[in-house]
Amino acid sequence: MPKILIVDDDQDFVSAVAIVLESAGYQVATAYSRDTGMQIFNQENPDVVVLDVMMQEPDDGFVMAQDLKKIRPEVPILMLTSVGQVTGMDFDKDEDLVPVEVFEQKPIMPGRLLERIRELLNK
Amino acid sequence: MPVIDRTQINEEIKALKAQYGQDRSALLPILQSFQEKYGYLPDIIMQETAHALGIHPVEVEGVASFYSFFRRKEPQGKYVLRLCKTISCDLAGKEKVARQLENELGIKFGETTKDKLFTLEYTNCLGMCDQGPALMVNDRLFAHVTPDKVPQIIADCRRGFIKSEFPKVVPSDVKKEGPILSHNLKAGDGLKSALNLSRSAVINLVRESGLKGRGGAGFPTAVKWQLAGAAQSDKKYVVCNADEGEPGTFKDRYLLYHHTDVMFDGMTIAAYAIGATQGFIYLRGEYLYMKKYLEETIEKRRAANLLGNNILGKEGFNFDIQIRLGAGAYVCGEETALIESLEGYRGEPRNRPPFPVDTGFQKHPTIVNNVETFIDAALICAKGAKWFNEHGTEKSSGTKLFSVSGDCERPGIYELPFGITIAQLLKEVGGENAKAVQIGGASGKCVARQDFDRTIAFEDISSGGSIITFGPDTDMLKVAINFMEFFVEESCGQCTPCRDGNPKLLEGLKLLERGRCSMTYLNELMRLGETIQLASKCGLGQSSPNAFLSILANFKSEILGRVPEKE
Amino acid sequence: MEDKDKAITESTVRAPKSTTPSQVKAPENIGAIGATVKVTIDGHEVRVPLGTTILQAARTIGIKLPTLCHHEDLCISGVCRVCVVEVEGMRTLQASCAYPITQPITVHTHSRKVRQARRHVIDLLLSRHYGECYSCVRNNNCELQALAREYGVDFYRFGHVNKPTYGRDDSSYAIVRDMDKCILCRRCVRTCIDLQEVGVYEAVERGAKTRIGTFMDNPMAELICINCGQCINRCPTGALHANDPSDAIWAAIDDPTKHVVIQTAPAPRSAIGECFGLQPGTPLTFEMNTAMRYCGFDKVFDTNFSADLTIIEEGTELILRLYKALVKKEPAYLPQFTSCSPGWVKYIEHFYPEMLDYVSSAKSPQQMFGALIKTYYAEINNIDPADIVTVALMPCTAKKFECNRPEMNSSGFKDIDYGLTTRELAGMFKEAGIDLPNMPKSDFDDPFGTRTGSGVIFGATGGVMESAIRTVYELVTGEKVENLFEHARIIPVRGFEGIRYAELPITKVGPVPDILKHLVSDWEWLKGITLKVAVAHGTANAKKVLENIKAGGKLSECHFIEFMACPGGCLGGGGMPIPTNEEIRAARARAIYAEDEASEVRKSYENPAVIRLYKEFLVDGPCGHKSHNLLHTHYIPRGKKLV
Repeated sequence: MPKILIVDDDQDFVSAVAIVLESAGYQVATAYSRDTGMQIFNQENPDVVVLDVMMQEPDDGFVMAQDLKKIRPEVPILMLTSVGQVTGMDFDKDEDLVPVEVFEQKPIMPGRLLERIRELLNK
Repeated sequence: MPVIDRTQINEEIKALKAQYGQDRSALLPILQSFQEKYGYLPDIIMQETAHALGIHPVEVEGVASFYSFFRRKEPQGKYVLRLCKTISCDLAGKEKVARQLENELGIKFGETTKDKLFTLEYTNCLGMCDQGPALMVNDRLFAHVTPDKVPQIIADCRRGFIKSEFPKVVPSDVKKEGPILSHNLKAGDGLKSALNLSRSAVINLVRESGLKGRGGAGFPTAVKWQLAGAAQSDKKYVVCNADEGEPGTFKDRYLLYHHTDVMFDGMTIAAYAIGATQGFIYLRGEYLYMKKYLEETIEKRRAANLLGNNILGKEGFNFDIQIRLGAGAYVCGEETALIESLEGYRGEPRNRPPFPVDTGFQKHPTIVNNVETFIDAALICAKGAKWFNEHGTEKSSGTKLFSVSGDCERPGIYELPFGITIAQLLKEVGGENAKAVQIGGASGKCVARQDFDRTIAFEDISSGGSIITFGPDTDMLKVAINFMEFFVEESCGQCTPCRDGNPKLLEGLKLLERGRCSMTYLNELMRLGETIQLASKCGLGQSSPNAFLSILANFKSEILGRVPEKE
Repeated sequence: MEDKDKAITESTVRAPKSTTPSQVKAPENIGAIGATVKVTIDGHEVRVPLGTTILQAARTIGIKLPTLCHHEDLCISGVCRVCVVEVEGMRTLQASCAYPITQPITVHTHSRKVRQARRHVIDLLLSRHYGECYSCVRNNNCELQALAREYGVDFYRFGHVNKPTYGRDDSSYAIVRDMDKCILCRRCVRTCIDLQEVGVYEAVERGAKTRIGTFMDNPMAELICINCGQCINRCPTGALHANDPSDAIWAAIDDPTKHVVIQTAPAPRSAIGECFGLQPGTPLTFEMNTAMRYCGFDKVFDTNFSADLTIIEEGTELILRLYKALVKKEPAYLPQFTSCSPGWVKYIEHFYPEMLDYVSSAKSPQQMFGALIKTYYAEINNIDPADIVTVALMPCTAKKFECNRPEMNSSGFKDIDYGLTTRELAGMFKEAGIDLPNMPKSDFDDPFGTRTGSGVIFGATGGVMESAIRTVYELVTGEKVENLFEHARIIPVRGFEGIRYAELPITKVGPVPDILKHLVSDWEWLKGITLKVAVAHGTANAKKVLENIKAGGKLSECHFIEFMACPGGCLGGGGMPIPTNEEIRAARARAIYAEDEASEVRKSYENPAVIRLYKEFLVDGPCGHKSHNLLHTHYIPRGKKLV
């Protein structure tokens, strides 16, 4: 079964996403910071990464996405962040600065999340 | 005084709008033009300007009254004499100059002579702290003013001929150069290196260098750029904070003139990294004399394709820079207040979130960086991250420019690595016998001898570069009073703790001066100081009681033990 | 949507950017992952929708954080700093009103630092707040006073001013400014600039000298102030209050030669209970009647009468304008604007003087009533109008200005002598020792007595339009409006949406009723027409409508537009009990619509007192010569320039 790494500093959110993904049959690995996220990525070789933007540093997610693309560009990234709707921040993917395959805003309906994951895995 | 005619004013407003923009962001430049022409802002001008910009007259009045360079009632004299009253000039003997100016003109500060020739005013820091006392006559500067120089200056004005000491710019005493100041780069060098990289590579280079904002707050520059770069918008802005208002700092004055192109390179690199098309230099009103020079430099850069469209052949990279002048408000050094000011509002700091990187100038992503930060960034692009971060400490990489003034042998500009101890610094500047050092200006900390082994770095004592040394005979209570007078005037007046708290601290100091402040009340005021630090809305408000608290903490016995002055 | 219609949907708020809210919106779908976020407040865990402020989150678990600059109707400001809390991991205290929760946080609302900061903020504000509570109009209803009590202020820690700095400005008929009591929360600034787009106030100067100023420090009477009093409703202290005429009214009552009558507008009855500790929306119509008689008013009339009269006059005027446009094909000023709200009237006089011809020439119900009392009523009761004192109980401060307009004296005397607000009448009751909620009930006096539903809904935004539709539809089609709208509830014009638009197709027409026969012979020319109407409340919305009309947008095709200066209409008026917010206004609206439903007469043209008036007194009919003299007026293109 495909393995998905979730990196987000909001532990509640991570477990909510994990439940949804696990019940759909995926294997799940989690991390609450960029540093551990990178470590687990290297250990576990996930098939998809679900990534938050603002963690310890406000741009951690962007930096991590750039770093991941340097190591294994073929692993798709789903960036999932709350900043969009709530604070008026308007981020989106950018080939260079935000190298992710899918950009989604929190909150997200479970169905939509699974659909996007499936799309990424089928690519 | 020219006759004020409604039709004519509206013609003038129309022309000014064509020059500065149709929306409210043109307000300050328009008011500045009128102030210059008429010597003040008559009611009718405020009203007509408001209606032309689609805002309310009282809003224009609110703005005009916020900035100390605007006048609303009677016109100023033909010559406005502004004497700096901030701490360094105060230490250098501004009081005697003030008395002589009053004697010579027969008016008090705040007044205008009957013949409407002279207006006498105090002003806060002119950025001449190493050469005080400083006096500004309209846009001309005078340094090292002594009482016996006063009659000549006034006589020259009367003859209609101000013999300017400095035709273009104030010479600065650079006492020590480091890697930054001795860069040897030509215009465009840093920019060329950057344009060879991808946008993310530029940001990562800056990240790798560990560059943090040189204004004093120390926010990582790369994070700011990355967030603004990732933000989606049809317009993004790069703003250079050249509103050097912190008492005791004058290094930007030097950088703006002597490293102009590197600074413009830095701004242009930032624009490339975040995808901005428009830049502003928010130049403090006191540096008006530099505006023409900066504009000429911008013009040259346009000619050299360092600004404009498809810069240096980079397809689709378009960027240009405008200069906007401040109008005498210290708080506009705070980045959100600066943006408010650019937009034509009172310079009142905003709530955060939202942050300027996504909701900045006119709600578009905006980065605001200090002059020195842009220069550092340009040099990092040209010379690499390692060249930069081999200096300094782990958390505070690179070297820092310091503006040194006060009681020391060699005031001037120093480039020193972060992590230097205060004792080392004092040795460098010839201030070993200082009883205390003010690090970081009015909003900084007063450090006494027992702490001279502490370091200047973001992780220890942070500083935007202002170093004011106090000799052994300095009356620390007077110093504290000077700083608090500064904040009472310069607070934006928005939030309760800073607006209403600082006057109480000042009042308390004056009670102490007269020997009328009980220990209980003094303790209450120290707690109030803590509240101002914790509960004020913006960073400047939060730092406003720092001087008060650190001076009282370090010199309590000196202050409490003093003999009260006769009333 | 066309570009020119953008103005009505996009915000025109020009609030200083420092005070615009941080776009906090609750997520649309609460079932989504991450729709809520955990916040721990004083050890209690609670999940709140992403973006909820700490202030709101604390309220959900029963913790009330103190506020001063915060007001539900206004954008976030975050300047008073009294609502600060400690958020773990943050160096400084955070203003809970301006802190949207986007990630799990732990909050302490009463730690030592927080308590100290709050107390200091309150003490600092008190140190510059001149005056003593017992001589203040807001005594017992003052937010600063309440905080001082809640936080145990028992001495002035940082002193207290003992001399006034600014003095009081009572130049305006409507609004008194007492800036010595101002605590610089800037609610009035945000109200006047954002909510109303009038722009009388702004902060001027800076630092310790900061104060709220008017343009060139002009007194209130000489400004572009529209007297709406919304600033009063949102002022936390007594710095802004209404110009209270109750002493003069008592003097008139005391004078045996004076015949003192009072008319009562629809809105106050739904709210005056709030001044006596009752819930908003508790109607006290009949108790109030008795109480007014106890006070010594000789007669108590219902403004509903003249509200219905307004519908007849204004409706007739509309028909005449339509006739001019549709039949004679002459330019007529359409859409016709309502003229009941004196704040709105002064707004358009100042800001859109070129559009004054669109405003109905009908006087407001208050003034119509006054004119009739000093003519018709004086005549039939054989009282010298010189001896009649007319008082108008209104939810409104602008009515105080309106009754003092020099042109409002068609009887030769002032139509209305005094405009009295809900708050001020409650004050008179208290002075007279009247326990209002426990008064016996009594009805209004004749000859204007009949309460009508069509009059009472004038108190809510959309009410004038609803009454107009009920009457015009039935007069033109001969059909019952109930055929179109259940229980005659014209739902499309109700509610609190800033601008509302409705269409009413006229598919068939009936005979012209007698009352209008002198003006038109048949309705055939209206057949097939779709009547387009709009409703706007709050002058910021009015501005959007006017701009849309000027740009030739959708609203320029309207036939009739109702404007109310105050958000929510009269029930949100500047003379209503304080505080106000959306919830309170909605409760008052419910009371008003309930009274409508309980009324026997719910259509203006069926009001027997109105029918009698046209039969006995205004014999040349609506918009006839006599009504023109007494019930219609003209406007002054004031413009917005002061110099």
